[in-house]
Amino acid sequence: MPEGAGAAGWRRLALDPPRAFGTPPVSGNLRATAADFAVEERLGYEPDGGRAHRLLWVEKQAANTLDVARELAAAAGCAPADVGFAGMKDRQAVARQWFSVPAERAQPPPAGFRGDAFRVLASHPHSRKLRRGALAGNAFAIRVRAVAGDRVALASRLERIAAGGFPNYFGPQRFGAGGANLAQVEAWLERGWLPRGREPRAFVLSTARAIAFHAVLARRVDEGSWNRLLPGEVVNLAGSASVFVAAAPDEALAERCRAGDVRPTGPLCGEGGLAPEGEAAAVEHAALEAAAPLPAQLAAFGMRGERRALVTRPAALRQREDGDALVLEFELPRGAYATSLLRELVESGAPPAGGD
Amino acid sequence: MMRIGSGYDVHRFGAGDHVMLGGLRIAHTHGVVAHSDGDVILHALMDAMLGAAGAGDIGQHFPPGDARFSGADSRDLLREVVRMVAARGFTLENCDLTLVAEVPRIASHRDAICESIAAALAVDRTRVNLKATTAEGLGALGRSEGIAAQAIVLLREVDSA
Repeated sequence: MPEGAGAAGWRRLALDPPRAFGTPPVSGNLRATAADFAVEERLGYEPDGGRAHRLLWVEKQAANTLDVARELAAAAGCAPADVGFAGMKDRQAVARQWFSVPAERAQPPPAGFRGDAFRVLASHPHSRKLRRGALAGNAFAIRVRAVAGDRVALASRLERIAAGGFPNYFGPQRFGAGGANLAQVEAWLERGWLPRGREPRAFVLSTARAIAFHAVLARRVDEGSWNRLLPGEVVNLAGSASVFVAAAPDEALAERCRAGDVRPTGPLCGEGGLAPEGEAAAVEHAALEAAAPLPAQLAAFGMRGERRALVTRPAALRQREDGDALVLEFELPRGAYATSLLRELVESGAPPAGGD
Repeated sequence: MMRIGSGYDVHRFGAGDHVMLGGLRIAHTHGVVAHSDGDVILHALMDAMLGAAGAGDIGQHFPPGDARFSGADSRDLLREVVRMVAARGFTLENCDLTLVAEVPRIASHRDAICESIAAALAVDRTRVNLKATTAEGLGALGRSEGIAAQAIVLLREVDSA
């Protein structure tokens, strides 16, 4: 491994990558209670009335998404894998999200059903199982307590981020509690084999990909190019998985980038997939040295190469007073982490483990 | 999982000096009668994508009577369709498009149209194919009273990374 890589370098890349806007203008306490972190899923489409499944609108508190899915499966009399959901939501939060339960060979629990730490608020007929990632985004309301600092500067930073976005880092939960998944990645490299079981393997691989992505995004933040297109950039159409290579971005494309319609991307390392060219490739390859040998290992393991936007943009970003607390409200597209926005706004003692 | 969809659109020729095809302005002796810009290729493509995703059709999402879409640039509508499809967990694998018209002839514009469509879809140029044919003088299209397009698309389901 190159100098600076390995446990210490990767931990810093994973949990404390460079901020785009410098020190946050305020400090405060995040997530004093679960109710301080409210998240509501936005599918981006309506239940279609089909008969094969029911879409259940569920509110959960202090429970993780997989546990709720298992409990819904038990109540319906189907396998946990038959229950679908579009995204994992925070455990330490009040979260509202959709689950799909097969309706023709199981009995989905009705509206009003209560589980250990959740309740079903509504039920609608739908034709398909919900798939991971099949959502538009999430709306958040985050209460910050004991706020101190420059509130005028905070307002200014909110305006700046609303207009131009923020670095699309993965949140700390991607790396496990306290970065625990990082040790599993190192163990994978040392032993040469992955842990047994689909979920443990997926955790290790997704953590490894996130480290490599952070290496590229951190470099682009340091160089000030995280929010603009370089020659040879792999460009993403915001709100979609569509990507294309812009060999020589013209002013029209640059303007679309400033407007948030298209975005530069970094690698989710693996084999194949669209790769940058020219200057964008040079920057990316140099940055990935900090993550070596993860890119090669991920490709050798057969992961499919994909891209993730370097920048993401909140909608409806605003602050309001609530007694002694400050409440930050915003919407994020799928795959974006609330914690990656909050770390640009609020200095807190410990990073909250939140976001989608 | 892969999903297939088909789309078809036709517009009558009317007053004007150009038609919009795949987002490009093509000079012609007539325009088309339409609420938006009347881009038959993109309209067929959007319907195919929405159909493949089980998301209805463009009439539902961009109603012809809605003033917001009067004269709309169909590339903007297509980008919205890409996002709708993405919200359902799909991305475009490829599309195969067929223009049916006696006039105008588009052979010299074919590559530019494909590049324009690929740019609007934000996909590599190789994922877009465009063919053109005539109606062999048969029917209204054969009498050069209008222009039509057919689209077949394949969508691929994507898991979040």
